Amino acid sequence: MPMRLIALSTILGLLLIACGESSTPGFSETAGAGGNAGGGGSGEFTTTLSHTYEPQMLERAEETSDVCQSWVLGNEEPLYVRKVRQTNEGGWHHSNWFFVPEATYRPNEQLEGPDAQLEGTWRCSDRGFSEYIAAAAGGVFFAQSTQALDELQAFPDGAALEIPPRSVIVGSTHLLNITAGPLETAMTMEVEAVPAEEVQIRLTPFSFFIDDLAIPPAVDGVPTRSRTSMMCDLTESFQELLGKDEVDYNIYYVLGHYHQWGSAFNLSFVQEDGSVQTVFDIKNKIGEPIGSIIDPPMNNRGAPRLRSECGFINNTDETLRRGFQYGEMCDFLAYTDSNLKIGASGVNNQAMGVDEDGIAVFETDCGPVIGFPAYPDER
Amino acid sequence: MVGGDMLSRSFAALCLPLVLCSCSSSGGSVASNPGPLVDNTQWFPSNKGEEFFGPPPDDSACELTPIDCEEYFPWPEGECVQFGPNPSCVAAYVPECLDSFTVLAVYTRMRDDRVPLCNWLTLEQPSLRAIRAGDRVEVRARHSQLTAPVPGEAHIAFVIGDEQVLDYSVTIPTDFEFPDVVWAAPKDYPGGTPLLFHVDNHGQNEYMLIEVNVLPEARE
Repeated sequence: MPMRLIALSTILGLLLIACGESSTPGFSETAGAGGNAGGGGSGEFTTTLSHTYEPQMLERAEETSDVCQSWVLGNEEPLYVRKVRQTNEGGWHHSNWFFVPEATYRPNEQLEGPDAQLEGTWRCSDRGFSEYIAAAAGGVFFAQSTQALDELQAFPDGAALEIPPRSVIVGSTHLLNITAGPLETAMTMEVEAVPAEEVQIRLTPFSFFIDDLAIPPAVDGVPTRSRTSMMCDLTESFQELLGKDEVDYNIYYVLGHYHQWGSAFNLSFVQEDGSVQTVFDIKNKIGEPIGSIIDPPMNNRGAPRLRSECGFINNTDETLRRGFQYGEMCDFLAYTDSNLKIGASGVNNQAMGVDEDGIAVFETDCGPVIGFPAYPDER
Repeated sequence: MVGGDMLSRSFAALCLPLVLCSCSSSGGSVASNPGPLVDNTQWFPSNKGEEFFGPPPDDSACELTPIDCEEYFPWPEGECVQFGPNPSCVAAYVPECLDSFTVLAVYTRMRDDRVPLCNWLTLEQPSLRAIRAGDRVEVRARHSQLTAPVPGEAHIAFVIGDEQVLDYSVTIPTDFEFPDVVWAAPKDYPGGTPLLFHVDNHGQNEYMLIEVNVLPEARE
């Protein structure tokens, strides 16, 4: 089991590796094919916790990244978060927020001086922040949509994200000042948490990442379109880890992730007979796809397999592999009510020819599916 | 002598306002009227500007009809478009809400059978107000990180009547930038003067015209 934990942690982390400023894990209001915007639960918002981050100062025409901000929750007990709302004073291009243990990003006195605090504003690189570590150490908390001045993320009634005791909310921020002068701007984050007894569903993560990417290059200067997929059968995981013969779960939230050559993402249930039911679909979206709440949650209807696929448009002269700044990714994170934490990678990339639209098709095999029960008391 | 001095002062008192008036409008007969020169919801495609940008290259292309934009198009009249988090909508140009601004966003996508590459785009609208000789006009634009084609060059231009006031070129790849200029008008331009915003040779990127304003007179 320890090996599994490490492996899963690695996979979850790899899934959300930061990619500089380009990745945007988290939640948002808009659902994909699975449902409506995630205004789940009642329309009211009861603020349990609230925090205004330090204002950030931007000069005219300044664009910042590598700025992290943290909020020490100081919670002695788990928090069960149903809703998060952000408002800001403008200039927030996007920001990605995570919950992590307090020990994860302690001040670096050498670089920040003796007065640096756990809570505050700091250069991400000074504390070695990466979304990879943040997602692996805790989880995704909130993702601000591009330039949204206010935004609500809400799970459906009864479902909540469990934030462990002594957690810190950490965000990597990307600000952009398009005003004609300097800008001072702060974000306020409000949280609606509910008592443990009101939580029927503690959400747990599934994550796939395609390790063996080989995205074909442009030909004679003409960009090449392609798509690459992976598909895993979860039957064994449900049997071995939960003692259930049937694969039965709902998906509440999906985050697809790719980089600047990505243009589409699809997550689907696949039945034994091969029929497909789309959970979440993004198309025509270059770079920075954003997570979405699926409301109402989407049931797999017995489908044992889960399939993810990314579309790419490669305008370079090189085959693109998995990588950070100059590479590509095809990952996703989904929150489910399965009580399982699952991670898997796509390996053994195979060219499958060209589809009817002239798009080069690649499929990868499902590597070992690694998982464990999230809450043993809930089997 | 006293009488002459009085006369002289009276003459000066009479002339000084005329002189100041003349200075403030730099030869124009009507006072300057600072404010927005463009309405970013009002741009339309144009074939003008060849004398500034040259002729479109043979392989130039731009799909002007928005694709998969049923949720948003037609754009709301006179308003900016607020896209959701994962819009499928692809549009070569759109008046987009960004903070409190309505910017003209020029989006590009790489070539495929549904989404042609837009690599040459000129948009036009009549100016919202008159420009007087000596007025200062500020043009503020932005482009995101430019990645393709490599090697390549991106070009952003803004034309007021017969003058190209912004002529920005950058070698690709490059980081984001905020091209801007403050241009002093050498002569009068009446309200309704054709304005052109031009972008060419762009990859899968985002350009925007943030705003164009006739600036208030600089104070001493």
